[in-house]
Amino acid sequence: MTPKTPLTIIGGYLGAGKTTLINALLAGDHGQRLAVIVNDFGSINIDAALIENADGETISLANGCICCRIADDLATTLIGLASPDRQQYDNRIDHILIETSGVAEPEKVAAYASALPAFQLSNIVVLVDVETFRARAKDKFVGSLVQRQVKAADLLILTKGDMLDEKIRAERQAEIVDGVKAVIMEGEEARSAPERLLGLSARASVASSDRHTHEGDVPFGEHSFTSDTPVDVETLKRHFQGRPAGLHRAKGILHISADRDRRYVLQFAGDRLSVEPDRAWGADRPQTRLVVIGPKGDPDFDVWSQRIREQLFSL
Amino acid sequence: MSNSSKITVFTARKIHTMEPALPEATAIAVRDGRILEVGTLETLQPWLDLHDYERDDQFADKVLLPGFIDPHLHPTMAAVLLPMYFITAMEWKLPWETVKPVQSRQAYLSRLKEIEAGMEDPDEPLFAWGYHRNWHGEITRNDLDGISATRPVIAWHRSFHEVIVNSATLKWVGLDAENIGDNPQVDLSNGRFYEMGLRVIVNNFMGYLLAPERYAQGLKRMRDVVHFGGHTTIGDMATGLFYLDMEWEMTKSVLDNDETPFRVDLIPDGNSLAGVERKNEDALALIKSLPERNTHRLRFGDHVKLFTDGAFFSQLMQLNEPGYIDGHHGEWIMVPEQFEDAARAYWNEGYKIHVHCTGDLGLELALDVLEKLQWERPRFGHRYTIEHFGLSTPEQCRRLKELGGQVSANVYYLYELGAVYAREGLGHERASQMARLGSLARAGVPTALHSDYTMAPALPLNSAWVAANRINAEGEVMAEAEKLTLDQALRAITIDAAYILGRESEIGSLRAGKMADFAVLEADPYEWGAERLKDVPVWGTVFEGKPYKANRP
Repeated sequence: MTPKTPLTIIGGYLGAGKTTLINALLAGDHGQRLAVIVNDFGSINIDAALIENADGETISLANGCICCRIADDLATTLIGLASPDRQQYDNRIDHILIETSGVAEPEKVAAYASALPAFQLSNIVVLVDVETFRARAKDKFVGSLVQRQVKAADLLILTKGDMLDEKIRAERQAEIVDGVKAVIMEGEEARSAPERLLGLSARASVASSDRHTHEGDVPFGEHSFTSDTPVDVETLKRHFQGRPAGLHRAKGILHISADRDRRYVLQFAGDRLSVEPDRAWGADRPQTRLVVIGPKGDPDFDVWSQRIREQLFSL
Repeated sequence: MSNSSKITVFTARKIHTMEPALPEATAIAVRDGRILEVGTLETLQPWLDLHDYERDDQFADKVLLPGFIDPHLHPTMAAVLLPMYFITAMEWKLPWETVKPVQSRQAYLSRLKEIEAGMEDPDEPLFAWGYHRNWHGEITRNDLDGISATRPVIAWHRSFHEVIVNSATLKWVGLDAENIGDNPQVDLSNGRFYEMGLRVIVNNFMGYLLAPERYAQGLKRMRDVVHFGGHTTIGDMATGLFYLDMEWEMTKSVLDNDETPFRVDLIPDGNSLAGVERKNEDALALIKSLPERNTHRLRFGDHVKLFTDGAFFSQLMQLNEPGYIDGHHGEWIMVPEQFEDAARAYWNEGYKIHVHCTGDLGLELALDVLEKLQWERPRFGHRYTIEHFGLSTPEQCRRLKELGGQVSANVYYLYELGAVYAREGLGHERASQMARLGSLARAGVPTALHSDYTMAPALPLNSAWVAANRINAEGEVMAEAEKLTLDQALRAITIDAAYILGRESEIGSLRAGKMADFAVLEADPYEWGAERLKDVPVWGTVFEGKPYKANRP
């Protein structure tokens, strides 16, 4: 059976910044071929020079990403993306992102979409407008909905905080994240490092008992590595045994020296490391891409990460 | 208008005009599709002295009421369903058969077997609509294989959200374990496909179900259904829900001719037509242009349909506290803010807005927005209509009156779902008070009944019977105080339904100058009383002066 395509849900109420994030992802330099499913093209802002082809429902970009509009319903669009010709290399999709409607329950959309056999839920990303959350959360009609949206998140992105005075902002952010079991990022951070959204699989940690809660507003930091040199998987595993306490998660595709024909997927979450064989590289360029995430500015984490680069990727 | 046409005088055992100033009559003079006068042969005499006329006594033993009006159904959706066989827990009276209630697993399977045995073409798929676990228990692929090993057999759930199919169906559509994979909403061994899983298989059926001949057959059946119920006017309450032009073309090609004994008011769907980009101005411009398409029978006007919360049959209505017993949540069809924007756009252009509302929180939103719009730009005669009116509070009924709103209710919810929702989801107190029509009547809110066909049978006398008796499917009377009187219930399918469509000066009652549309009944509902209302036989109708006898099983 063909491997499942990871699926990320992008939820949040109207005006939370979903489209801004999607625009950043489509334009981002992450090397992944994304299929973004949006409700409408109206606000998607794609540089015309990058558009390779556009029909009524799909826009294809020169970087391999496509943007699909939901024509009839989400199911039909997804079934279209799962069609066999999408399995071919030139047409492949690495990751699907679904922008939900402002009143959707992200978990319902996730359950609905991942019910199709070709896809596997990677993450529920929810954006929250820090400025308006307090009022919305009390709204008679959508209050409980916006609160449930926040609770559904694996990755919560706080947006529009920069409009607020710093003290108020901190207070408002604390209200939002209170009791929330998700990785938390600020909007700017998410937009400037889209690979963070695509690379990490928060789902893995959801499944584990050790689901990190963000403490205060200490942000996570990350290091990412790319290398064409095959890695020795045993050395890498040993390196993980000596990991810093704060290491939150790691995910990547490995090009390993012991089996150069196929990709391996590395996942670290909930204190467990796994390295599993995946599909053959085929026409893909064999290349290791790894992201590690831990407490921002933590010297142990930074040093340990630096040593990955030195030991494994600088050959 | 030419006065040269001959007058027809219809006599009847009794005519109920729904006009308080002249409630009963025995003769009615008609010319060119309009009523000249209602009264007796004696009072009609001045017309007959001066003009040619013929007397038509074929209704001498019958009772005439104004032609019934269902202001909210969906002909193009029903056309997909009507070519299917009905195997339902409730009785469904159709022009071609009366579907007897089937309320056990054994009875369901026997009925399927019986239908299968009667089908001539061995390859024709057997689509049966109406399966419901509450009544029919678990039906599996294996059971359906027992019905036929070679013919595709599809048991479609009453809610439309699920099908159970046999092996021959899987073969027909080319689905097997390999191409389905491990879909959590498909149970292949039991042949069950639901929600997202349903899409996997339904896409393979749609070509068959929407094939032009089959679809046209469905629309013709819809015509018979509407006629059979005694209607002479219906509202298509969301034209453009799928594809405006396709719906319009199909409706026009099948219904826009003299074989159709009714007219259709088409109310465009302001939600779908605004598209996901929420371009209310574009939708408004399109909607303004639609009346240019009008024909004699098919008419767009100054009405528009909008939505607040989710479906009543799926328990997706939005509820005020304390919500659902099991803690699940309803849904918004339109984002509340976007609903408000759209409502404002149409309000400020003078449109009559129909709002689909099912739960009491959905209704609250519709009322809050109405109040805001009244504050911003007060209007009289705005006819802001709450469609469906599943759950409400007494206070909301008074508020509706305050703000000048009105209601078109699907009271059948109470009959089919009253007992079920008392046990699941809502609890007895709230379930028994769904479709709170007595409170509306006391508050003086104009109230009509509709079927939202096939959410309820398109049988106005049946809807009126539910409204006047509030008996649920298990025989319990629910919330006595919310009953309508017999007269109120009959007004709700005639003159008050005309009011909902803004056609009250043309139709809905019988008096000089109105259209000569009658429901022709074999008995007098006022004599039979509220308890037997649903059993009053409908002979057929007179549409614009011309008698049309209904087909009956």
